[in-house]
Amino acid sequence: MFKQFVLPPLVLSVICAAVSSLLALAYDATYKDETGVMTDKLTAACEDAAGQGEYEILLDDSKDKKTPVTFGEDEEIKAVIVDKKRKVALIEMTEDGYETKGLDFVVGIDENGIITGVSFVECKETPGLGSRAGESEYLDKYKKADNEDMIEKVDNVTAATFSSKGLKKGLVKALEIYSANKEEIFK
Amino acid sequence: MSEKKASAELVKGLIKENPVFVTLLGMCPTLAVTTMAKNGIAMGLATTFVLVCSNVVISLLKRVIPDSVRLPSFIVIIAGFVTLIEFLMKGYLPSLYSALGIFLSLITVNCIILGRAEVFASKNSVAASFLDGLGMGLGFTLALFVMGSIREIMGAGSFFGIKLGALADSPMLIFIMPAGGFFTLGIIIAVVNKIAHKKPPKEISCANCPSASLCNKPDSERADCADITEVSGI
Repeated sequence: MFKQFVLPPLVLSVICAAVSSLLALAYDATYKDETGVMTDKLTAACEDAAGQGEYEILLDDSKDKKTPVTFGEDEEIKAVIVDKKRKVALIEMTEDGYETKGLDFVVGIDENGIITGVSFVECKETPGLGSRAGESEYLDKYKKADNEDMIEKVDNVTAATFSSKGLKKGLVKALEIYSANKEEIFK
Repeated sequence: MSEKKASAELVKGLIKENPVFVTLLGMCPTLAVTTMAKNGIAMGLATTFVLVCSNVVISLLKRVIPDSVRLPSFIVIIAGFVTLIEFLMKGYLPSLYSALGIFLSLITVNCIILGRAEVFASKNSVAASFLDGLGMGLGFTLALFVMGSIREIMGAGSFFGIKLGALADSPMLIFIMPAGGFFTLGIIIAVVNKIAHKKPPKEISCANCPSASLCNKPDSERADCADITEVSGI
């Protein structure tokens, strides 16, 4: 009776409890809260898009936990980064390419609303296809653009149409967000 | 365990019973993540870690776990190690973590791991189970590395991200597409069979089945694959 009905669920429960406890410990030991932290990758992308500077992420401290400012566009904006000395803003966008949320890039915008550069933080697109939209020769074509027409005039990359379209959508959105919130970004 | 038997346990998973090229297990990650050599190695090593750890723990607990909850217990242990490797990769190798995506979590249901737990670890000593897990894991890693290297070189014209001259200018994109995965796998299996001098079976039987060692047929029905079961230590 004991061996048939009590022991099996008991052993399984003990195994589940032991595994759960070990995982809780492992989670505590490995979790890193990177909210508001300029990671090496993000810093490198910012420097690539707008040159060397003193970058900081804008944080919303009105809630219990500080969160990056996104101006209500949580789906597309990951963070807004500023260099207040040089009056340069960088907006980190995530857009759909061929992969959902496969494009993670920063758009550098100067105080006149002109794009200083674009750089990828992470590109999850297919290597050799969509990833070509993240190459610097292509991204340089968007430098000095300040409106949707200039962005749309740049040709899409052959065999990377989804990635190019996603990139353009993100650039247009970044310019819109910048012009609508310029004062708040640099206050 | 003798030195000879130990080395046999370790080496069998590399070529002779390679989980990908011979027993055709773990096809999902094999085809999905091998667009780059780096991804192949990362997935292979993550799977090796889970295989070794789960084999050792299951072998240690084989006398404690009642038969009726054997499979759920194995799955809980395997899922625990998969979650652990996920935490580690998320914390210390975030770019690899996002490159492997959902396939990292899916190691839990990788039939190589549950297969070795059920067929080997639950019936053998801790040392033998450790070597079996290590050998199978390295065999899986080798397979994914070979797949990833071929697909990256041919399909993206690069190797570990380093561009390879003329190949990078006009790569054969089909190799990094899903169809290219099947194509590459088929070619490699053909080459492995050629090297092993294996001929296609004239008739379907246990003797010709690459998964004979994993089969649960009663002994009376599988007399003709006795030589294979002997090798696998069942």
